[in-house]
Amino acid sequence: MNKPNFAIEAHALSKHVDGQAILVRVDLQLECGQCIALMGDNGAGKTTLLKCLAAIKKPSSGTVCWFGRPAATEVSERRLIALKPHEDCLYTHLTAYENLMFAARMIGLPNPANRSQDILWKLGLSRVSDTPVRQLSKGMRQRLGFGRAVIHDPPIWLLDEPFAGLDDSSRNQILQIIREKRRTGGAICFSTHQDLDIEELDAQVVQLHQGTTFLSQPNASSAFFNRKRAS
Amino acid sequence: MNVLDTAKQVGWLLHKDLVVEYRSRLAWPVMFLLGIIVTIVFSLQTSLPREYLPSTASTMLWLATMFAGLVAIDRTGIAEDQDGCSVGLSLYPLSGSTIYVAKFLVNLCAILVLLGVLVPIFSLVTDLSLAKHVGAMVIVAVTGSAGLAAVGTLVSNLTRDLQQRGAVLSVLLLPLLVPLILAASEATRLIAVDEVGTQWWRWVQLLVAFAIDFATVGIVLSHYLREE
Repeated sequence: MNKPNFAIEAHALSKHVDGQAILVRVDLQLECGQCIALMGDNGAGKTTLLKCLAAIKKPSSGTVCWFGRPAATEVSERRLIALKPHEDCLYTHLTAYENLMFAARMIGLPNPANRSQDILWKLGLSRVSDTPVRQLSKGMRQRLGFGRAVIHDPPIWLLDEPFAGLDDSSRNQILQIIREKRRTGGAICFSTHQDLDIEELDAQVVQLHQGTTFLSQPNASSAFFNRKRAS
Repeated sequence: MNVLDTAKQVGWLLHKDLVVEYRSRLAWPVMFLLGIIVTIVFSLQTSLPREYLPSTASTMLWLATMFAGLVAIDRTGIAEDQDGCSVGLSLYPLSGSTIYVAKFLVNLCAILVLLGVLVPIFSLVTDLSLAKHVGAMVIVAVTGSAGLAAVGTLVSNLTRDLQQRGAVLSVLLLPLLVPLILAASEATRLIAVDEVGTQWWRWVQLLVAFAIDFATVGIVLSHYLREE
């Protein structure tokens, strides 16, 4: 029997900060075309888990592999993942377009100008492309931050509450982009507090509680998850 | 990643930082103001016999540059930490060393521009003649600034996650900068007294060695510092 080709695989991942356990022996596998929703209370470890999966936080123990190889052993492998953290990661004195151009150039995309325009158009931000980020609304910044993260269209997307603070129209635009990515084989892991996000993306739920995953149910909405937990 | 790609990344980081500074005016105006005030206050408060003027004035010039330069170095680091931009940087396929080199160049630009403003003002208010050996003064300014930027960028990286970053930066930096200030002051004094010879060249060599040593340590350490 062939071993599944996991896009991301975390094994016995633990993270301790100042003696406090943030993650405790977390195991997680994410295949291409699969979508996982991380749920849990504030402080459950969702953001830390996403940052460990993205290899920008070093775990205290355990391993993270991208496509079967230890994560980010070479800097060029960072092109395999996109992480949209809770922060926007945008330079407020640069325009929306300049922020995307900077990201595209740092990643080394072959045609940064076209790619930046394309992302602005997809996110409905073309009309504010020359506006400094500090003058954009919270929702626009959120969308732009999402665009900055996925500008290189990598196979693995890690999204920390990607729909937080968005209106319906903006939310739908990002949902559409995520669905399209999943349809074309992308591996997506996102954190959320909303049942609706899970249902609309038909995501597998992974519940985090005090740093431990305690339920992972394929193609389960959180309603299903809640019923299961109640029973 | 080949050298050309890395050089391009350094170039774009430098470009971004200079554009952000031009628009935000976060560091440079404060740096100029502090440098000019320190220069003028120093020069007004000291009335020395003519023979002591070159050594005292040279030291004052470099102390003013150091104090004002620290402001620029500190604020360059702070600007990157706003709105999670440093997290964003860590997600790009670039090494910590690349970021160090870019930040070093940004700080070097700031200190060189600062010296470009301070040296003429200093010559004016202290009646110190540095114009006779412009080339020699440029060499001292470049090597001295490179040393200050190399140490400053390194310590700024080391103190990135500390709460009292500004205070710790100064406490760690000032002792490290003593040899640089002594060498740069002495090299400047020799220019002022028209003795640009072997002795001057030795001080310049010390400045070059200082800059290369700390830049090398910064490049190597930054590779590891990037991991949380």
